[in-house]
Amino acid sequence: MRIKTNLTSGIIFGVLSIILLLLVPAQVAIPTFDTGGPSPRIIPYLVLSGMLLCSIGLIVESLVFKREKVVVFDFKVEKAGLLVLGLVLLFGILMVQFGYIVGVVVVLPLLLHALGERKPFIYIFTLAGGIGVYYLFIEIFNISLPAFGG
Amino acid sequence: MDAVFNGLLEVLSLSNLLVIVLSLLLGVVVGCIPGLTVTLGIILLLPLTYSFTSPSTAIIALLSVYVGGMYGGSISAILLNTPGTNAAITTTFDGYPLAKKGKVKKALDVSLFASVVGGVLASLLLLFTSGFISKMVSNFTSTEYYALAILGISLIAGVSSSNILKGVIGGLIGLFISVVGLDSVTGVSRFSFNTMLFYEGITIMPAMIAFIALTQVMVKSRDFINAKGKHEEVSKIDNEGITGKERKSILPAIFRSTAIASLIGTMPGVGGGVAQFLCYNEAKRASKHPEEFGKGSLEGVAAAEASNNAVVGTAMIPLLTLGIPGDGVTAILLGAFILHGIIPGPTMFTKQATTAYAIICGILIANILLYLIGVIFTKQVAKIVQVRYSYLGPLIIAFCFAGAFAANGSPYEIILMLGILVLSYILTVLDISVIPIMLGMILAPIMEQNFINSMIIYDGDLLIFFKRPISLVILVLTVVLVWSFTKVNRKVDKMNQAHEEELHEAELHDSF
Repeated sequence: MRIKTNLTSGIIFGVLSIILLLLVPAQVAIPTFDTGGPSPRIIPYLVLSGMLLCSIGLIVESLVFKREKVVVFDFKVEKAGLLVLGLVLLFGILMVQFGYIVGVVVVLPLLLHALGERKPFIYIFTLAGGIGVYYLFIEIFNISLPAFGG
Repeated sequence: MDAVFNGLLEVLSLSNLLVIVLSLLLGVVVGCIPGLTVTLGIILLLPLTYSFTSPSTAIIALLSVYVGGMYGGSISAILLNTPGTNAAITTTFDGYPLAKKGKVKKALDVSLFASVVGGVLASLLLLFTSGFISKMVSNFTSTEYYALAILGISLIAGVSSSNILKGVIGGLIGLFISVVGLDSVTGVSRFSFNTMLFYEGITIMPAMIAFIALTQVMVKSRDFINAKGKHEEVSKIDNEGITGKERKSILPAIFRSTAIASLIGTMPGVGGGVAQFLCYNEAKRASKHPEEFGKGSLEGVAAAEASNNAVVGTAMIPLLTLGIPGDGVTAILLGAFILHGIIPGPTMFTKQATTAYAIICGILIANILLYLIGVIFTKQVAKIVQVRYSYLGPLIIAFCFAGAFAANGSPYEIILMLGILVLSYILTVLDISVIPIMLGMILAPIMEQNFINSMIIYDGDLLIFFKRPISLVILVLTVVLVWSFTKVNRKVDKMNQAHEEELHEAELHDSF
């Protein structure tokens, strides 16, 4: 799949900035007292207006000036990236729900398998390393991590 | 002067020296393994520095990773023809041909010597100019600081992306992300969508990990899987090091590169990536043997390596004196400063002078100790240059999650990090650099605070930024610099492309 990145970025961020601009009154309340400072809405309005202008610029650049950066999204290549992304997301979900150690024990072997490793030693080394990171934070640096139970 | 002396004394404690040595080693290792970057090394070390009692020790540790990483990048450039860091691309031009000729040790020695000389000279420049610059800008008000923040964000947004509009969108995404949560002045929530997830805002640490560290792991793992784990053959290290005569012969190239790179390092938004090409070309132009460049010139390696280590020192000048980062790595360092409660800028040299000079002296000592580390460990470190990515990737992921949680012990940080990672993947596909986003996030509180202060002082006059002369000069400079650096970047890209084509043609010629 060929992606015209200037046009696509322009459309995505243009639409997003319009939606967020419309949401400003609902999402940023005006304080009932006078703070002496500018409204809390001013920065969101400035930022989102800037984003909208740049998005329009990208669309004009692509459609009018025919300046475009085309990226080929090859699913065969990206499949591996999406798989790793999925495993990283799984690690996060497991860590929040069941704790860091569970994330290490479940996800790291799956990741090693995806990376093509088959030797048992590497699995043992990685698991020991992952658990070692836990003890590094807890014991040496006195920073707490959820081991089990989220 | 007292502050300089106290800063030096602080650095010279045994524990600090040990921290510097270990961080340098980490930097060299991270820099030399293709796929691990200096930025990644800094992000991985950052959560561990929370346990350091002194913020200056924490920053010195992170800076030592930066210094070590710049030298480490040359090891894989020489041994594998793969630069470990972006700033070591030109090291491959002559480093790898030297390795092919069996002169690996010589190339590594030149790289180490040039890195140390370049780094030390730039650190001295930082030491002697930062106090003076901070005094010069000590009269700046919130209006000028706001303009400076605009300068920093515009420059990095302008030059770090292939398209300036995409770069600016990146910076604005960063600013918007930091808007989410409670407004520090009025206390009203912004874009929290009535969920606790967004109520406290999105902090820098999980964002840094998701945007940079985890995204790099994802991309590198993807490439590793697609390449089925194959990698290039590594050159063997011989025993013939650099001679005294050769050392002398490369000194002019080192001094010239240090001077150019130091100047470039001080300019926000340019960084080592650009400096190395300009220094390499200047060394070639001034050399008595320009014909040797690209075929294994010692001067070529020296010019490239002196430049990237010199940039480390002088890139700290705008960061420490103005609070404006010079490149992607210093943007991350600015985040680290803020996380450790240090606000860079002129007030740092008055309110936290000892800390400021301890950091500067730390960079100097790190550059000196780099020579020792290089002499002792380069041969050992070079053995791990070919370590399989599958051994590292999973452990980096585990470390990233531990680090993100450690930031403030909240599971929300992990959930936000996952969301940011998905966003980062989409942005990668759309060819939008994440560096301006990070910079936007890091500079947003400074920008907003100064904007609000200016509005309160000048009664809501939005044109005040154009009415005050220094602020106006900074804003005009922003436009001029973005325009000219974008041109320089394009030129450098063309130079790199031309060199790659030359190499390709030479390879084709050799094969016939």
